[in-house]
Amino acid sequence: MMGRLNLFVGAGLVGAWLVAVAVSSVYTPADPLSMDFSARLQAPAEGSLMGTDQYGRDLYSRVLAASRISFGVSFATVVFAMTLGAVIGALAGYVGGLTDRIVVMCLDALMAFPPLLLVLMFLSVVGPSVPAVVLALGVGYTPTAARVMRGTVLSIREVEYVEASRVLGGSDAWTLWRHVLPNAVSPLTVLATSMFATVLLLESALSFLGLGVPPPAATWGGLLADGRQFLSQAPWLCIFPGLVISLALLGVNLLGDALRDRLDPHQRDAV
Amino acid sequence: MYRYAAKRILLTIPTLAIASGLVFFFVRLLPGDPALLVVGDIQDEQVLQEVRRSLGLDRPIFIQYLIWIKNILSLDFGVSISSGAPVFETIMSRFGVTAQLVLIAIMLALVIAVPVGLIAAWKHNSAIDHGVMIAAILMLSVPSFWVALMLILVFGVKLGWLPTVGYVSPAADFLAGLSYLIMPVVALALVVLGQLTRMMRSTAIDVLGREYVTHARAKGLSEARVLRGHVLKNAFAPTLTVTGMIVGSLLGGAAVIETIFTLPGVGRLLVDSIYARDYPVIQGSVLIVGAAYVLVNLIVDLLYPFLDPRVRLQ
Repeated sequence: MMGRLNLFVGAGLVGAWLVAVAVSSVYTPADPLSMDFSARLQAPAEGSLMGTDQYGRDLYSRVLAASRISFGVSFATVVFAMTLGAVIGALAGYVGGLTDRIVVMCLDALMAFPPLLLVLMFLSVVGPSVPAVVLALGVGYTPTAARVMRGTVLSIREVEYVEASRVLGGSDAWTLWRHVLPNAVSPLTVLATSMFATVLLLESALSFLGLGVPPPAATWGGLLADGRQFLSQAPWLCIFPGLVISLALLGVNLLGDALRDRLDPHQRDAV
Repeated sequence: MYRYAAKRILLTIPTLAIASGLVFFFVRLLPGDPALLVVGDIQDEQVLQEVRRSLGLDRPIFIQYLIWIKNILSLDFGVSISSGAPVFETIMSRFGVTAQLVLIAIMLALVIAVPVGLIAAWKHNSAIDHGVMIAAILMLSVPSFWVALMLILVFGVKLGWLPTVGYVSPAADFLAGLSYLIMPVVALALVVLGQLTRMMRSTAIDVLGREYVTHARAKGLSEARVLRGHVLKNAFAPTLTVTGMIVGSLLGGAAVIETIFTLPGVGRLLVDSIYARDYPVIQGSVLIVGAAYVLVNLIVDLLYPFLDPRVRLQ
């Protein structure tokens, strides 16, 4: 019962987010960047669902516009980390030997250090921008993806059909692509979903601190940071962006639980 | 057992070497002369030359790294560009606040998560279990910085019960200190509470299905004794390992929470130094906070054989 509910609510929330991403690229109720000083800090009312900010910009339109950046950055980061991680993990697991030992030692070493610290360090040097955030977070989560991929490769490297493929003259690249990768799809999907939630949270935190995607682009964390100065005068500026981040995270988390139950029955009920 | 401990301790060396290497080389990515970073705005050619030599900037980069490591091992992290104070002392004077915040949050989360997760597992698939699971995933999904703002809005601004910014050491004035810590601790603990409850529940469900639990029940032990003596004991060790790993995300979260509540901790020091581009302090705080995290996990792993005797035999 719970599994089905997870799937429906999670898919619904993530679906709503995707719709917001698609719709906001062609239409928002008001221009998210146009200022109107006669309508500063207006409380939510008809025609302005979430109120306006200190420059009279429509918050609802800004939240919609921000959905695009928050999704885009998180998505690009996860794709980056999963791709790089899968390649490193597959090579280490398949080649084995000393290469594998060295790679694993480096991965373990990186994973034993809090990723946010290195991300902050990196951003402090290169300055905030979309590519910098994606690169920093992406590299930060590559070791996790690499470990999962390597584990899968090791577990099926000696299976008969993989050996058969090699005996029949299939190249290593072909064997990896045709026989090893399909087996890794389930664990990698489960990992990608949970990674997406973590990355979204970190991206919002970075934007909140002013170290993520720089303005005037609207991000959910950035909206929350702007609203913070007006917490007592205009609490809606903090309430709505935070609510939207929470709903998006809830959606991804629920979807992650549902996917794990389906794709990875051994892990059922695990965290 | 001793081999396990020795191996585990040796494994921290590559971690610290790689992390410190990254911290060292990131700063070298900056355009310009690193000596300028140390000297700051004072453009005295002679001072610059001296700093270049003391940093070994005329030597190959790998040697420079080794010199840097040697300085760090003698606790010489350089001086802050903005305040001129030694970096190590600056960080240490702030470390207590962060440690206090993170430790109280972890303890609070553990004290609630362990019994609640255990009961949810015991009543697996009941209304209680579903309620706990829903509460846990909701807690996992609210960002701590938003919780902090909402707490400030309700308890600080609207009700006026708690101070919203500032810090008083609980050692100096316990009640006042506590009133400044309540909101930051709750904001930080909520996510961890969600994570730990889920972990405890899933491990306990697994343990409840084991033969020794069936055996304990068959020999007529009360449910309370089965839960306490067998399930709790076996489910706690994995939960503790996860707790150690969560400390890492808490140390990051502390940077945000300390900034919101203006607590004088290392997290806020790090964020402020990034705004001020005070690289010696950034390098120092990243390394010291990271090393503290590595140390916490080392301690958790060394405790493991005491909690789970099976590890001792391997």
